[in-house]
Amino acid sequence: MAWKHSPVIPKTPLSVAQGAHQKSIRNEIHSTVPSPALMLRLYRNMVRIRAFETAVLENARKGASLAIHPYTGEEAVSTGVCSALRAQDKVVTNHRPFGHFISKGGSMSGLMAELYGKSNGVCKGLGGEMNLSEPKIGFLMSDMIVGACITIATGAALKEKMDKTKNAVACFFGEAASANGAFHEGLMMASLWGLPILYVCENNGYSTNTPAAEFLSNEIVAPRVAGYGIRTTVVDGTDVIGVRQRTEEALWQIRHGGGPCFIEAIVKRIGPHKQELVDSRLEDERRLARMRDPIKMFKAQLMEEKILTDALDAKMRAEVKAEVEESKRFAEKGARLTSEQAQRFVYAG
Amino acid sequence: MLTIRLVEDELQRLCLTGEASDLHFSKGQEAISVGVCSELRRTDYIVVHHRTISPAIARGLPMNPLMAEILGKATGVNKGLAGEMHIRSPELRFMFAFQLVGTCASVAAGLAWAIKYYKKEDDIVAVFLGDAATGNAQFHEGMNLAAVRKVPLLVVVEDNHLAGNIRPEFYLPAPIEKRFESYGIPATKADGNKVDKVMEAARACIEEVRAKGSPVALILDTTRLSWHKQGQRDIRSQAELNLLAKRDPLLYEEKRLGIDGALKSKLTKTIEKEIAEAVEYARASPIPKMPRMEA
Repeated sequence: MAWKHSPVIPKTPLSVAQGAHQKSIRNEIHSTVPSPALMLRLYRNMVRIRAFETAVLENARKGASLAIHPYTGEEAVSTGVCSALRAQDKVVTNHRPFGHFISKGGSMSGLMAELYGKSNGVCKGLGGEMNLSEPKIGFLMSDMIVGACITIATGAALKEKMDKTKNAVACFFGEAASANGAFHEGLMMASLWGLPILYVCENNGYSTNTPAAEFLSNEIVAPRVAGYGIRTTVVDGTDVIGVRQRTEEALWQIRHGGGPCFIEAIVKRIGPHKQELVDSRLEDERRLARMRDPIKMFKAQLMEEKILTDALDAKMRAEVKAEVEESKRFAEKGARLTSEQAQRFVYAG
Repeated sequence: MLTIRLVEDELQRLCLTGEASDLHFSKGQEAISVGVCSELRRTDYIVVHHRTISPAIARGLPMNPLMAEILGKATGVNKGLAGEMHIRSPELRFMFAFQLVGTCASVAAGLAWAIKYYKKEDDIVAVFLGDAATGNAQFHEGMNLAAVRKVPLLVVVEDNHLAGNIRPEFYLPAPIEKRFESYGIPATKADGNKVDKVMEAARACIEEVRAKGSPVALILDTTRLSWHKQGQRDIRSQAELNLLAKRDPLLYEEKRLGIDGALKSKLTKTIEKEIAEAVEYARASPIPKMPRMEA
């Protein structure tokens, strides 16, 4: 689906929004053609996310760290979006943050130590999976409350606008978050004020085990967003190149003062909602999800174009495996904060 | 409509003397409550916003208890404890009034759901809300579930183009009907200051809601001729108000029905007598005793 351009251009007299909608938005293509080297980087990133998560899932089974919300099957979305972002752009995400964190350039060792609850983790072992934050790399936060990240990201975008930076904020959430009131208020304010924010909805068709038809009046979110006067597009979330190109187009608009954009990436979740939770989907549906595995599909494409060879793939996977092993060693080396040390980071009276 | 207008005028005088607290008046928006309520069955349910006086009278709440309630007396509809913004009368199926903007939408959706799936009646719920309420999260959650669960809900949007003293360009990024479209709720627009047009549109919408058992929105363009709330400043200039006053629903109705001055003054006298009695009744009533919280 091409970009849908809302004809409604609100006039916003707020000083922060001056000129937000004044510039015309040209219908040109503002995406680049990816080079083979870039494609390999994208592939490598997806493999890294998968390898990291496989290791974490394994750890959780052994009891070394807690059960997680696996990102398996959705790697192409965070890889595609974050590869188009600049280092100073910000990311705010939901309860499934590993993919976004690694794609944004986060350190795998720091993340692993965080999951072990060790003090050498990115949040000193206090944040865990669902309250992750690494401002250094522009990863503002992950928020476990469904939908809450949307209003927070909107606030972050307001700051960028008031500071007159050229940075954008990318906000990741699932389709279930769109039934939440925070979604409504966040998108409305972003549209009114023309904020530099890219909303990325990872639509995996299920809220835990509830199919989207049970809580969304139309099973995809994009038509609803058009009601706020925001440009929307729907993209196959298993196609990393497609996601990247759409993101580049959206960022072009955002950086030229065109206001917020919305990308809906249709994905299939391969694992359950959360490790150890029952997955009530039919076996056929789970098989379909496995067949839509973004890494397998991208690998086949790269092989066919002779960008990737078996030897290169094996080398890459060996390197990634070494990186994951290293991160585990790093995590095991760290110590937990003592209760007195941890209290230094508590701000409530 | 004339009753509503006169009651509100009287209450405004009472506000100034301090007998009533500062109220939210619907001056200029009467045609909507009157038009929609006249098309509803007696068994249909109503949930309203913070401008309660107009829908309460249109629904047929008796004058004496209503006046006593607004003046905070023990003989009121809710024993004087609810005041203007929480009036309810379940016997008349005037279910709830909410002063929190937008809250009524999600409550009404829940009510409609209960009626359809538990009581299994073909009654519908009509919810009145302002255009500013469509920016609220409660509205979003309510409309989403109403559309998904297919509940018999008539959403009446009183589009007065103001949120308190704020203009729509500050709170509405896109037209309201587009918002409804995105939930898959069909929306009809009509002139909310012409009572015959309101009735016509409401009749069609109510039939649709009852037949399909799914939500329908009715967006009525109207004018607020008074302040948002008694005692608050208005950002609009006198010139703008004069212009809006030309769209006064009462003027239109008088012209349509051919009511001349003599008939109008006769009607006014009858109604004013009734109001004066109600005020006397309220004044004579005792102040409510604060009920004790009991475990």
